[in-house]
Amino acid sequence: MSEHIVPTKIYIGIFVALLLLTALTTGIAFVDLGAFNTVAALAIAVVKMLLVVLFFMHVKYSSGLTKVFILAGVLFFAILVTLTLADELTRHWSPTPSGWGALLPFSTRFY
Amino acid sequence: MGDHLDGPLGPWYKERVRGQLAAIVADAHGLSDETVSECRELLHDMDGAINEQTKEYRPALSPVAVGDRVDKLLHEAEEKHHESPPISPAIDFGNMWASCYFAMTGFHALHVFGGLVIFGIILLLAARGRLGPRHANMLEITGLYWHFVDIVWIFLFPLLYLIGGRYIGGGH
Repeated sequence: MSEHIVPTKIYIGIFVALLLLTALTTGIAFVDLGAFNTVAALAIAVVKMLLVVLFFMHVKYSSGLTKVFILAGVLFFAILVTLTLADELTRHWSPTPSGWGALLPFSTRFY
Repeated sequence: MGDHLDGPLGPWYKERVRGQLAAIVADAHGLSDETVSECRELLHDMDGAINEQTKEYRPALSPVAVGDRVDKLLHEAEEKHHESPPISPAIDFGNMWASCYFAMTGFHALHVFGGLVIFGIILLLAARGRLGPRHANMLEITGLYWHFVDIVWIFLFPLLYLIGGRYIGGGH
């Protein structure tokens, strides 16, 4: 466990920054940016995640070994996401009878 | 209808419809007897068979033919009888968005609840004056856990409530 004592001011500053970023990402969702809406929302989420990991979880003050372990976790998570998307993104390859779609409003959404 | 069934996925499509029809035959799901018997007939025609009397072989329906029969069946069920099959091969994975939404928010809620239980334990320890330096690791790990739960919500919030809303993908 790291012995580094983080000043309270930094915690409060990070907390305020997280609140502001939440307001920002919500505000941007109401502006039509096309495909960039998704990019903006995820980019802001990544920034917030980094703030939490670096300061709240003390990774900024941790050893290089800790950082390597975190990167390994991120890499493994990326592998899992890729495998999930390999399923999700190929589902429309399977043909669907047109008649069922007419009967069920939900049925055509993902195909 | 039918052209896309000529491809290599045609047999798979046929199997999906077969499973659907079998479900309707096993349980009418509120459909009329007429529709159910048509489903049973289609299910039967899907496989090849030898006619008992003429000894002639009737080949199995092709995926294209199955698609046309299913289309006709469903069209009639809706037009003539105002029936809506409650389940469909088109959504045999269920409602993907709703499934993901409830799985993700549900598991997040469980994580939050778990954290609250740990917080409650710490609160009890502190209230009894038994919280001390020997709990330093426990407190730090609890904090790490709580921030992990925080990060999950940082991503779930935009994914579930912002993306796919007003301006992306036409919404729901």
